[in-house]
Amino acid sequence: MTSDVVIVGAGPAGLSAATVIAENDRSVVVIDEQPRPGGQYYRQQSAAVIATHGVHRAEGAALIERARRAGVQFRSGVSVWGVDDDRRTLLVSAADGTSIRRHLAPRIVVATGATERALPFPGWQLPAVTTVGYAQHLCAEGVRVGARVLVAGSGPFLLSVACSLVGVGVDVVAVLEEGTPYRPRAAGWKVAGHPQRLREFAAYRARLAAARVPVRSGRRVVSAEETADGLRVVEGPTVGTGRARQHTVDALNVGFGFRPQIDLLRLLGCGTRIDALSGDEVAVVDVDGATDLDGVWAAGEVTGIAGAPSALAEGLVVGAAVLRSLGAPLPEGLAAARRDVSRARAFASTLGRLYPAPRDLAALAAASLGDDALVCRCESVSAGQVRAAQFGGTDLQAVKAATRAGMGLCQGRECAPAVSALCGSPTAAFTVRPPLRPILLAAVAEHAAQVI
Amino acid sequence: MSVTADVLVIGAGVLGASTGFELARRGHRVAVVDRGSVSREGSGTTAGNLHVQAVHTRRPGQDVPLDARRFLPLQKAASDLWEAVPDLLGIDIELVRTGGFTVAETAEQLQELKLKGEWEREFGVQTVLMDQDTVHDALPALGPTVLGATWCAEDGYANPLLVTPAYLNAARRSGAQITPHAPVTALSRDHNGWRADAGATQLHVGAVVDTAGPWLADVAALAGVVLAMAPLTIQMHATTRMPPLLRNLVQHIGEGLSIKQVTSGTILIGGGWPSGPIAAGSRTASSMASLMGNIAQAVRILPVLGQMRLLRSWAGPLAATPDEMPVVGAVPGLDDFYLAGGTYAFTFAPLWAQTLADLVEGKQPPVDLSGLGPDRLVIEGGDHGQEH
Ligand SMILES: Cc1cc2nc3c(=O)[nH]c(=O)nc-3n(C[C@H](O)[C@H](O)[C@H](O)COP(=O)(O)OP(=O)(O)OC[C@H]3O[C@@H](n4cnc5c(N)ncnc54)[C@H](O)[C@@H]3O)c2cc1C
Ligand SMILES: Cc1cc2nc3c(=O)[nH]c(=O)nc-3n(C[C@H](O)[C@H](O)[C@H](O)COP(=O)(O)OP(=O)(O)OC[C@H]3O[C@@H](n4cnc5c(N)ncnc54)[C@H](O)[C@@H]3O)c2cc1C
Repeated sequence: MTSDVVIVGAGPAGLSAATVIAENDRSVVVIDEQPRPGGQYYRQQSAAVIATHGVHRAEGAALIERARRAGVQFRSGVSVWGVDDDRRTLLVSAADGTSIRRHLAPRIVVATGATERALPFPGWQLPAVTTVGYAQHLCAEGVRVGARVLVAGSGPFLLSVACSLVGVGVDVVAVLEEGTPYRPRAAGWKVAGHPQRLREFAAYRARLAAARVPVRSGRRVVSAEETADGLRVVEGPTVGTGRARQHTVDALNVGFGFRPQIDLLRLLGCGTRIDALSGDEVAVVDVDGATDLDGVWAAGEVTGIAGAPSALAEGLVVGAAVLRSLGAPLPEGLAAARRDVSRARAFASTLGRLYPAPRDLAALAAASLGDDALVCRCESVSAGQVRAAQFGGTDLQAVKAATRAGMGLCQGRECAPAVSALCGSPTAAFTVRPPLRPILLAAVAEHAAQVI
Repeated sequence: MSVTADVLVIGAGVLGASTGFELARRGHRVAVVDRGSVSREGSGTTAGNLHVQAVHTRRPGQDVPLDARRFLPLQKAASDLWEAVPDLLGIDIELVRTGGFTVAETAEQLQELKLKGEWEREFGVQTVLMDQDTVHDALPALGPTVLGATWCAEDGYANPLLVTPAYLNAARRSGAQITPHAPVTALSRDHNGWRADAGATQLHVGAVVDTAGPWLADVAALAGVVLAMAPLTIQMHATTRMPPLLRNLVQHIGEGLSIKQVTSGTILIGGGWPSGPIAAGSRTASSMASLMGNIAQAVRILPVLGQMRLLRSWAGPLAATPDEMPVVGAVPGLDDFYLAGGTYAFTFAPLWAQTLADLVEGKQPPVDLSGLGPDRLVIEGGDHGQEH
């Protein structure tokens, strides 16, 4: 399989890069492990769901249609799990880890997006506790995650998910925000420079107020526990002492923002940096989205969390840079896209300053955990075991080796922020190694027989 | 900070940890230092196999075959010592000695099994040669290409992530001082011992033990002796956790291969396949070609593995010598300076610990070390340098 450009990730960033490249007559393949293109923000539902509930985000469907018309070839349900031939080949498999194929990739755009940041509290492993993103995806399919739901964590996304829950008829008992972002202060005024985003925000608040959903700032989940009546959640103040409250709900949806999904970039060998506010690893790119490796670009949340509008604009900027490398003329709308990127990034960083830094949230979560609370759910490692890792010091990899935290099925995607906070590591990034996704040994053996 | 001790052990891998423990329990004041975190290089990435039957002689890509016969008395001595290790350390190190197969797929390889069997008898290592039917009865999961095997009931493995920390803890309990993140950057001799800079610490010690693994020669060079070492990196592969299905170690006489299921349920596949360029901090990149080669071979020998999922690969550094044999002994021309390292150092850890402690004390080591000393590797400095 060959094409001028291979894009990994069919979210807003990958879609817009692919579209501009294809509309300028260069061949482009977009690989994504989801069954349909769209990524997180433009996630597309199955035909059956659309028939009952309509199209979730019409502008996403329209963008995908435009990309198809321009000749973009989508390879959906396909995971990139490895890199070969000195980075000129991407190894892909079906999303279930079978049937390996190779993609020659002279130019690669990594648009692998972000994953949700999870932080532990006693009871976070219970089935009735899910991420806010999962709840959101269910809403888009017209499914209620429960009749009575508590939303908690930190970040603007909590408001948006609470609105979606209300929209499908869920009784949202409260939204708990660990920070106090909704009090006016100096940083807040800068948000005023982004009237459109501010309106979006005000609309969420108004909608929740109309549905009588209280948004309580400076409050967090202390613990969750299964009872005969449902999930009993105890909330308390983020700092200091204050009244505890109890809720009995069907589900607790928690979210602490997003973490760039840099695994493929790391496997390719691209430079990354540690973001001071989150401890997360982020791609290092120039204004065109070029990484430090020839022929590899990055676009969207993988370069830092700035929301879907930024991802869309970045895709266009990167698409233009790729086109330039192919000798094509500059596409229209490039200057506007550059302006959109810098506006969106400025908004994201202002907004980010209203909320607690992810590292502080992780530190608080870690400090609040009793020794027997689970930190690594895959390998059942407790906070006490991580604390007792005698020779690990603040070296995240050494603590992993000593405790098995991060060695399980998710390869540390879930527990990295908490484990790093517990041991005081400056980074929340475990080493990335192939395979990026669990892959069937028979498929590897079969493929090896063809190429070796 | 300034520290005085009897012995400075440089490197907190399995050799430094076990030697530090052995010296401390014999009553010496011991300081063990490491450049980084403990047990993060060879000893944090090793397969952890205890090889008792004779080993195959070439890793994939290895130029010089090792002398498998010379290994045997050492393996036998190490095997006997391992029996006592769990009790000495006082914790469960997941030591399993349920035996191992070394398989053959060609007539030539069957011949090799026979020859190795003769050597094993010579050195008192118990093995059984199995023909095709017998080995398939003993381990029905083996693939059809397997024509025979040798079985050794003493082969086994331990969890390396537990072993080195357990040795360090035991050493500490016996009074040793363990200091991670203290790279040794200078070594000098004075009238009554060695002076060393290790991070923020200055040490004054009677003797130095160099167990810096792949960086063994770098540490010796600080003392003025240039040794020929050929450090390299090799790779491991792990599946997701599975219910118990494989009790034994499976190896190959003609190829680098080791397969076993460890206590967590994960199946570990290795065999010395090469990985990317050596880098400290266990950040050496995995090689895709080795991943494919090693997995394909493992699935051929145990087809049942085909239905499992590969979760992870990793790479680690190995302190190989140009002749592929271990190196252990006093460094010629340097007083009170000893070292140990080289291939199969995990298996040999309890043996090299005793050997080094005996050498420090001026005693006769437990095994014959002829041909294994650092003298054969000296390029410059020490006695050799003075001769020229
Ligand atoms: C559940 C959820 C809801 C969100 N809702 C909002 C919202 O309402 N507003 C907002 O501004 N932001 C939202 N976000 C943040 C969102 O991630 C971004 O705004 C936007 O989707 C980023 O676009 P992107 O193109 O960078 O990445 P994504 O949209 O995340 O797309 C990345 C794609 O890459 C694919 N991928 C990654 N790795 C591989 C691989 N190895 N092989 C194959 N495919 C791979 C993924 O399957 C995914 O489809 C949400 C995020 C999540 C997780
Ligand atoms: C992937 C792999 C699989 C293996 N499988 C097996 C097996 O199954 N069975 C077997 O018997 N053997 C096996 N081996 C070999 C064996 O495990 C290793 O050789 C052994 O663990 C090395 O132990 P060590 O203590 O000599 O060195 P290491 O564990 O590498 O430790 C050396 C230490 O020295 C430190 N150091 C370096 N320079 C300095 C300095 N200047 N100052 C202070 N400290 C310093 C390093 O930081 C390091 O911690 C394997 C090796 C690898 C890599």
